[in-house]
Order: sequence, then C-alpha cells, then structure tokens
Amino acid sequence: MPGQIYASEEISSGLITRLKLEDPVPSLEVEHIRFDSAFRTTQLQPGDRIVAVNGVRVTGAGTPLPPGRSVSHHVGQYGESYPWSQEGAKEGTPLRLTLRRRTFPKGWHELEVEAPLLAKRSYSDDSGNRPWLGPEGPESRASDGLGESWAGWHEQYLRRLARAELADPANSFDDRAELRNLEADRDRIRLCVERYPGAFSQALAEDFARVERLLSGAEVQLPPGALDYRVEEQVRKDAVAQASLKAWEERLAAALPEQVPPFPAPNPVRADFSGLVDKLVLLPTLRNRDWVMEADHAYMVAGNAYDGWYFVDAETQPIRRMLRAARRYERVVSPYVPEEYTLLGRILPEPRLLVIQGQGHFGLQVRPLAALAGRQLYIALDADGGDDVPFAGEEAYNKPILSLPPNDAPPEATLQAMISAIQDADQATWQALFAPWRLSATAGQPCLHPFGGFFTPSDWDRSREAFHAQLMDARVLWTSEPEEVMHGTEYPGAPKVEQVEALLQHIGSFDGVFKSYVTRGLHRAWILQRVNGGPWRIATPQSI
Amino acid sequence: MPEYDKRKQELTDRLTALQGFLRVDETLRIQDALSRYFARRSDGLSNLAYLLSDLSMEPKASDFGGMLKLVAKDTTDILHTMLDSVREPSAEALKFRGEALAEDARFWEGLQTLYLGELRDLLLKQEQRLIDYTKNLRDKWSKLTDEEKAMEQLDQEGSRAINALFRETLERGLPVHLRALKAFDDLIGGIKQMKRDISSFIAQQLIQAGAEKDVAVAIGFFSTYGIFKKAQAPLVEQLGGPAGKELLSALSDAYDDPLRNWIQGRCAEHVIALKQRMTNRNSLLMTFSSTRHDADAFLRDNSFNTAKDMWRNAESSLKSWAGGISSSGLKGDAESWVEDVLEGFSQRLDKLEDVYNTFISENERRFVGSLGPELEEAFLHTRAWEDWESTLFSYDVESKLRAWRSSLPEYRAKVEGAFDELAGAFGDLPSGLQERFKEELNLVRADYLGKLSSAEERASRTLEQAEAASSESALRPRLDRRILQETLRR
Repeated sequence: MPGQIYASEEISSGLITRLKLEDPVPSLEVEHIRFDSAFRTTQLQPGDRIVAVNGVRVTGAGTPLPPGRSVSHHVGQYGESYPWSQEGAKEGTPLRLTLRRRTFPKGWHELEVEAPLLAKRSYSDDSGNRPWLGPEGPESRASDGLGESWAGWHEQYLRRLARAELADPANSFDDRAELRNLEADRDRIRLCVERYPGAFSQALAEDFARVERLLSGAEVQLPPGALDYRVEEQVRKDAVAQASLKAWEERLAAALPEQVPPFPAPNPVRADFSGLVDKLVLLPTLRNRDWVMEADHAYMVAGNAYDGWYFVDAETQPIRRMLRAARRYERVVSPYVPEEYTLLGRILPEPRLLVIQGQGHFGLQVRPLAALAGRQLYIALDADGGDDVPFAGEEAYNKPILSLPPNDAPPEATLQAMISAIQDADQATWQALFAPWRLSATAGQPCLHPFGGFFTPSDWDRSREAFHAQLMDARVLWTSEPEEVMHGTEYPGAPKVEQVEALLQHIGSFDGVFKSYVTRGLHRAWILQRVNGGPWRIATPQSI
Repeated sequence: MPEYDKRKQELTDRLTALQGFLRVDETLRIQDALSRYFARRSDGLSNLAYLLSDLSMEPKASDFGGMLKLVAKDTTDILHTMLDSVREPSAEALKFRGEALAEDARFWEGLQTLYLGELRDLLLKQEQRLIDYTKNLRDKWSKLTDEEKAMEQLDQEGSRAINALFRETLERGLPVHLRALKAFDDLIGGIKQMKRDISSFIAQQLIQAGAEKDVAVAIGFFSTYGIFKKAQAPLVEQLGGPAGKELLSALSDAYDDPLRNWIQGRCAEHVIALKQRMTNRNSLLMTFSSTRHDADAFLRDNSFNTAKDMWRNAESSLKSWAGGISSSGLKGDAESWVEDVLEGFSQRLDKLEDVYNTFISENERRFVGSLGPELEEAFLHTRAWEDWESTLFSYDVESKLRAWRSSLPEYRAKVEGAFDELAGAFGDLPSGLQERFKEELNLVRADYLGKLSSAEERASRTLEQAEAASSESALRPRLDRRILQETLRR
C-alpha cells in the first residue's frame, strides 16, 4: 500500500547528536543516523565524535559562537536546519564531517565522511491523514495489536539504542539488562520487517542487529592460566596436599634406615652423642611458640628440659626455602597455610646453647632436609637450587611474584598491575598503584594537591567481590596518548602533570563463553596521571 | 611548645605585598586560611618533634608516619581550599595559593623521604636488642659456668680417684713385693745352710757303712738303707716348711690385692670417664665458642658505632633537607625543627650508649673480644691438670712395677744358685756316689723350682698387667686436653 512522502524545506544531515562541548576535544557525538539520512551509507557510526563540520572545528563551551548562532544549531541538534538555510544549502549540498574515533589500543584518529544534506521528510498514508514512520509504514499511531503505538515505541527504541551505543564508560550501565530490554523489541521489529518491508524497517533491523552484537559483547579468548585465580581453593589445596603427603611419606620411608628416635635427646654436654651425629631425626610438629629469638636471630626449638632439645637455625637456607615456599603457597594455592612445620633433619656435630624462657639449655643442632607444613605443604629443603625450591605440586601453579611496575612503565602496565593485584589478593600493591595526589582546578587553573589522593577500603572489597562473582578477567582495552594537564608554569613550583584516559574491558562468562560486558559497579573509564615524569598512578579512586 | 613561625612571617609578608592586587574578600579568606594553617602547622611540627624525642621503648614509626601524613594533608588541605569560597579568584590569589602549596608539598615530601620515625625506632630497636642480648648472654654465662662447675667437680673426683689408685699401688704393693723378696732371701739362706748338714750326714753315713774307700760298698749300703734320699730330708723339710711355703705364697696371688684396681680395669674406667667428660667439656666449649661468634656477629650490626653512623647520616640528611628548601620561611622553620629533632635523637643516642657500655663491660673478655687467660684457665684448668698429671706420673708406678717384675727372675736365679751351691756338698765324694746324691737333689730341686716358677709367673703376669695399665705412654694421649684449647680458641 503506497503512501505519501513529504519533503519539507528544512535541510538536515539526518543525524541526532549529543553535545560534548566540555570535553578536552569538543565534539558532537553521533547518537543516531536516521534511516533516510545520506550518512547511513557512509562509515559514520553512532558513537562517532564530530570534531569539525566542513573543516570548521567544533569549539568548546568557553568559546563564543558566531553571532546569531547557538549550540542548538550544531549538526544533529534540533535547530540544525537554520544555519543550512542561512548558508543557502539545499538538498544535495555536500556535508563533510571530520570524525574522531579511538584507535585501539592507543590514542585517537580522525577520518572524514561526506554525504549530501537532504530535505527533512515525513511520511503518511495516501490520504495524508495518517502519518507513517517510513515510506512503507508503519502508521505512527497504529499499534498492530502490540499495545503501544509504533511512534511511541520507536521513540523509546531510539533512546534504548542510544543508551547502549553511547554508554558513558564512567556511568553505570548494564548491558545484559539492556540486552534483555532489547529482546522485547525483537518481535516488533520482525513484524515491521514482514509487514512494512522497506528502508525504514531495514534500518530498524540493521540497528537492532548492531546493538544486539554490541550488548552481547565481543567474544574473548582468555590466555592459558588467566582464570587460575578462580580455581576452587579447596581443589588446589587438595591437589597440593595429596602431592605433599605422598612426597613426605616417600621421604620418611627413605630416611628410615638412618633415622633415630628424637627423644629422649641426650644433653650434649653431659652425654656422649657422637653416635647420633649425622643420623636423621623427625622432629615433632613445631608451631609459633617453638620459635626463639636471640638478638634478632631466629631458631626453631623442639623438646623440653626433661626430654632434651633440638635446635634448628631458622636463618639458614633450608628454613628460608621453607618460609618462601609457604609464602608462595599462600599466594598461588591458598591464602592460609598453618604455621606448623614438621621437620626431618640431620643431627649436626656441634651442639648449641640457647636461652628459652629465661633459662639456658644445651641442645643438638639439626639441619633440616625436608618439611611438611600442616598436612598440606611439602618442601624438599635439600634440593638443588637457590632460596626458592618448589613445594610439592607447585609446578601446576607457577605465577610471577607481583611487584609495582617500573617507574617508566606505560600507564596500561599500571592498570594491568592493578588487575593482577586484585586477582592475587595483594592489597598493598593495589593500594600503591593509586595516586597520592589530587589534581583540581579553580577558575580553570589546575592545582596539584600533593596529599589529596584517596581511596576507600571498600573499593578494594568491591574489587575482590567482583572477581569472586561474574567477573572473570579484565584487560586494558584502550589508552589515550598522554596529555599535559598541568604544565609546571601555573605558579611557582607547580609540577608538570600528564594524564591519560583508559578503558578497561571486563570479561565475564556467559553460557560458557567469555565475553566482554558492562554492568553497574564495574568501571570502564579510568584516568591515570604522572607528576614530573614519575610513575603512572591511577587518579580515579574506584573499584574495578 | 617551640614556635616555628618563620613560615608565618614569610607568608604574611607575601600577602602584605599583594595588597592592592587582591580583593578584600580574597584577602580575608586567605588570612583566615593562613591563621588555621599556621596553627595546625606549628602544632603538627611540635608534635612530630616530640614523637621523635620520645625516650620510651615504644615503637613510634607508625605514629610518626601517620601524624606526618595527617599534618601534611591538613596543612595542604587548608592551603588548597583557601580560595574555595571566593567567587572568581584573581590570578594573584591563585598564584599565591599555588606557590604556597607547591612549597609546602616539597617541604612535607622531603620530610617523608627521611624516614625519621623509622630511624628513631631503629635506634630503639638496637637499644632493646642490646638489653635483651645482655640478659641472654648473662643467662648463657650462668648456664655455662654452672655446667662447667659440675663438670669440674666430677673431673676432680675422677682425677683424685686415679691419683689414689697410683699412690695406693705403691703403698700397698711395696710391702707385698718386699715380703716376696724376704721370702726369697730366707729360703736361699735356708738352702745354703743345708750344705753342712748334708755333708756331715753323708760323712757319718760313709763311716757307718765302713765304705769310705770302697765306692761300690758305699753305694750298696746307701741304696739298701735309703741314705741317698735321707740325705735330702733336711732340704725337703726346708722347702716344704715355712720358708718354702712362704715364698710360694708371697709370690703366687699376693700381688693380686694391691694391683686389683689395675687388673679389674678400675683405672681404665676412670680414664674413660675423664675422657667422656672431656668430650662433654669440648661440647660445652663449642657452645661457648659459637656464642662468642654470635656475639661478634651481633656487634657487627649493633655496635654503638653503627648507631652513631645512623645518627650522623640522619643529621646530614636532615640538614641537607633543611638546607635545600628554597622558601626562606620554611627553611628557617625546618632548621629550628631539625635542631629540636637532633637534640631528641642525641638523648636517645646517649641512652643507647649507656646500654651498649653495660653490654660491653659485662661481656668483654667473656663473649666479646679476645679471650683472657683467666677465662681460659677457668674453662680448661690447664695448670691444675698439668700439676695432676705431673704428680700422677711422678709416682712412676710403671717403672716400679717393671722393676718388681724383673726382680723376680733374678731372685729365682738366686734360688737356683743356692741349689747349685748345695750340690757342692757332694763335691768331695767319689765319683759314682756324687752322681747318685746329685740325682736325688735334682729331684727335690726340680719339684720346688717348678712350684716356684708357677708362683713367679703368676706374680709377673699380674705385675705386667698393672704395668701396662699404668703405662704413661698409653695414658698420656688419653688425658691430652689440647683439643679443648683449640675449641676454645677457634
């Protein structure tokens, strides 16, 4: 059923834009490209930022506009037609737009698109009494049994599209919720395509598919080991405990021929202990109370005044190995390892005198060869190597030790370190990555408050919780080029401050597929700064 | 409370110089902010200096760090917000604020990098370590000396026992040996006396038989009447009588009793016990030496010089920080503040020096420094042991036992000589008779000498065993205590 097309005298780009005039680079953000806009066939996309129109840069909020012009006269704003008519533009007059887009993974680039301006069109049925949304329908006020009118729905639909496509990374947004909302549009769009095939319905379908793809998130391939931190702690503990107990039992069995019972242990200055030298002894489990400090030198002691004593110098390599292995275990297996150690060691020829609870005691010294921490962590203390020898089963959980990135590391390294710190429950590193300063501006003049930075412990808690919930991983998607936001000339002693913006991509698991997603409480937009060329620090105190 | 008012003067002067450029509302706001800033700053600096000067044994680094951050934040907050309620602040006002803020930022940042709280706690920690270690070494010394005394007592008991054993050997052995010699002499004398009796008896028998000139008749007569045997009767009586028995008795097991301790290994037991205690003492000395090494290592990191070096470094860093401040007001205040802090550190250092001196005076020539001869003697008792050994071997038990043992064959030879002499009693008899008398004598002689040899061998064996057990060359290595000296001195 053919309708009527009415072309008005108003000339338009067919775009809907959002003003971004306060941004460092003032722009008009493309919110929607009407189905009958000539730009529909260009590279222009919703979300693009128009920074120049026919070569003339869009100016910021502080810059006065030419006489007779207002912000509503910008391209895509409701008063757009006015300047075109003033300039004598007609349908077909070419319009050249300079766009600013992010270049992934770093910076921005500009590109130009050109399309003719067109007269604003409206559509109706043959009688001209019933307005249509497109040349083939549907009728604006009709609902086709779907409840809301097509016009009412379309208005809401365009808002939903814009919300999805122009989601401000800094604001809360939930793409899965938006996707669910969008799902309700699917039937109506299908109906529109079936009943009113043509440019309007085709544009509806195209926009729907694009936004659906956007909201569904990009599928992400996670590198091996990226989700190790999420492996069930108990599974890790069990696996290591199993490997540890097996290795421990084997070690004890091998030691049996050389082993002597630990108690009663001879007093080395009253009895002949030469027969025990070089023999192996299995010491009872030693706990925190069995550590003795003498002038900052630590010893582990086993025994008592009646049964005799064994002493283990805790500042020798075997114990260093044991403690370092325990710390690695806490990092990669479970944050809790019982502070109790069972040691198998060799009796040394030289005895030692230690003061325990104010009393001097002579005891035999033991060099530990193997340790079992709790019933879950075995370390061969006499293995070849330096201060780090693997605990049983450790090869499955190798991870580099966290540290702050070097001072000259790029900003994305700082963000990546933040992500790793949260995954590895390393609050100290996480905290150190945030800027201790705060940059503010009074009357347009920036001023660095050196001790004004802050973060809240709840940001840490929220970040940890996020990784225990749907968030699987995060990665730095994009950073801007560094921009000098304080030049060091603002006042005597003013520092030079550089700043970058960054976008994080949050990755969740959806039906077994890893996809990027956006939801409330996850922060995509980040700002990092550095002072006088120092290390990049996060200047947005927020959770992941 | 000390006044740090040079900054106050500086900013006040700077503000005064801006009169005419600033609006009234700006001036009022800035004055209000500065008055709060000065108060907070002066109070903060005083409290920070007070914390560093605190002489208690409580760690304060965390408090100091927290307070420093807070004062820095509070004061710079005041500066930062001084124009917040000013509508459209002037460029001069903004410049005033920015400059003051930047200067303060450098002041506080510089102060933060000096880690003064940590330095104060390091000195405190060193003091506490010295106090703890002084007590620890006192306990160890007490344990070592108690153990040594107990050991020494046992050693003395053991050495006295050995000494007694040596002495008693001579005291009790000599009478036994003299008895044996006397028995030898008595018997030899007795045998010799037999010669005249036997000669006279034979002459009488020859006359009685009337066969003085006819040997064959004499032999027949003597054989018929058993004269050959009867002639030996006094000798047999002598050998089987008290003298003969006494000699066998004085030899056979008489030496067992005085030499029993040697034979039964008593001396060896004492020596083994001494040797074991020497091993124990060596273990004790090992623990003493390792404690000395520990103390050495401790002092390398905790000497008073280390603390003084830390103090000098701090002094230099503080002065360098204060001297490097470009703002004259801040610099003046920093210099005053540094003086106050150094005064506080100096008191802490004095206290530390007292503790250090106590540690040294208590442990010098004990656990610290070279070993004094008195201490070496106290642990090794070298002179006492040398005296003891000298006394022990001056008894010369081994030689004496050897001499006793070697005298026995000599005496036995004398007995044999006495028998030979006795055979001379038959020298005047005609051949034929002479041989028959000698045959009879030899039978008696062989019988007795056999018994005598057995007794002598038994005595010799006993003496030989005791001699070996008391051998100086065997004992000296086992009593050698040089290893103790090596352990002590290492």
